[in-house]
Amino acid sequence: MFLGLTVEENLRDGAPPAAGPGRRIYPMQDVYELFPRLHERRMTQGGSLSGGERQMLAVGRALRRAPKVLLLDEPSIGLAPRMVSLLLQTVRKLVDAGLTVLLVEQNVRAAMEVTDVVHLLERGKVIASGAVDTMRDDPRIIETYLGGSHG
Amino acid sequence: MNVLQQVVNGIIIGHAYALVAVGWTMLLGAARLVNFGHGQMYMVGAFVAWWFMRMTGQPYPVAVLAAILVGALIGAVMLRLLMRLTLSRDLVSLMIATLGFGQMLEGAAGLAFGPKPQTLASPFQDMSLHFGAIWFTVQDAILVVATIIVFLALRYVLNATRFGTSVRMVAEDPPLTRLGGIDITRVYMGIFAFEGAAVAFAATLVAPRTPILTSMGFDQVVMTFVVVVLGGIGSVVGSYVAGVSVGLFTALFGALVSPAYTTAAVFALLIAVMVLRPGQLAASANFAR
Repeated sequence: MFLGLTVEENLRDGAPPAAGPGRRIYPMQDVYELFPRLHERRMTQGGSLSGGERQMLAVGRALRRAPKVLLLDEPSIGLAPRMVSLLLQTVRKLVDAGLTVLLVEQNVRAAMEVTDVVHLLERGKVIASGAVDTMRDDPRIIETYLGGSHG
Repeated sequence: MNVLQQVVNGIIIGHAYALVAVGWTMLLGAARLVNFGHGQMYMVGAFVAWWFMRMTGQPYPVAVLAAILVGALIGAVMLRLLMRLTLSRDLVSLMIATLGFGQMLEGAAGLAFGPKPQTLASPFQDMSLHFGAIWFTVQDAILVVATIIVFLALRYVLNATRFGTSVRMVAEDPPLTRLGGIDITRVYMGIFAFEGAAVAFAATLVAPRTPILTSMGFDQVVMTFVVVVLGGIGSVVGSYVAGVSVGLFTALFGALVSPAYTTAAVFALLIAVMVLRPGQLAASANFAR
């Protein structure tokens, strides 16, 4: 995102993306409906936004490019817990509407609230994968991330 | 000593500084480019207008338009030559390359226009307006009004048009701008053409005040550099304020202290500002404001 542009300019940025198979165009209005906060702040410069608002704007900008897949690298980082769940709930809405999302998260507890499939990586290797319901009971996840015995 | 007259002179010179600096400010703000060929581009603008009037017999306003066109062309040529360095933002090499570009312009102008001082004759230079004890020429009035219009127009274009948004995006993050599907070489082309056109326009308005020489570029670059830096590297409004302030400073210093030391005094001012308020000089993401 551009710090020197307003939210609206950031979302308007660039040539309109081409529609194609597996691509959905997100008009500006759709982005504002997903993130009402961005609509409130649409005249604000990117540089004056809070961390959470910047993440929303970054996701909004990505959507405006009509992605086939949305890749999110630790969107929760540095955000207040309430903001994390708001952001991830919105991502879930996108998934429910048919978008494929690959979410990389250290905040596994929050991530598992909204994902369908979990792949657990350790030192670059996939050490476990499966549907979120089965993975929730996986001892390695419980121990490492969900604060089993020694939190 | 008529202090009011000196203030008027200062305002006029200040607008001249600001108008000469506007293209460079844009270039610096948007492309982070320090153009040491700026003064020679100014000189070429003045000579093209002079030569055009002499060769075609066209009136001064037509010559102004011709100089603007040639100026934009020179800006575009400059970008073609510096494209690779501009895209990679190799700032030190760019600075040196623009110095060389300026020398090339100066050499070419020396060959084309000869070594003798010439006069760019504007009919408005001979018309003067008197208000009580103060007076100025119609040329001065045109200069001031044109400067204000150019700055307002630039501000509008940067903040309220699609192209302006692209310029601000390129200023902040060229790779990210390209990701958005914007052809950044075209944006750079617009920025460089604006620099060339703006400095040529400034030259045609300012140069009728004094004789023109093909070697006058360097003097021009020195003062413009001060204005651009004082304005807060690449800030549009800042360079307008800085131009007018430096104009007032030189006029009053020249009248009240000594005209011989004005340039030195301006540099002392610049050094003082750099030492006392360095933060104000940093290039910001909001250069369009």
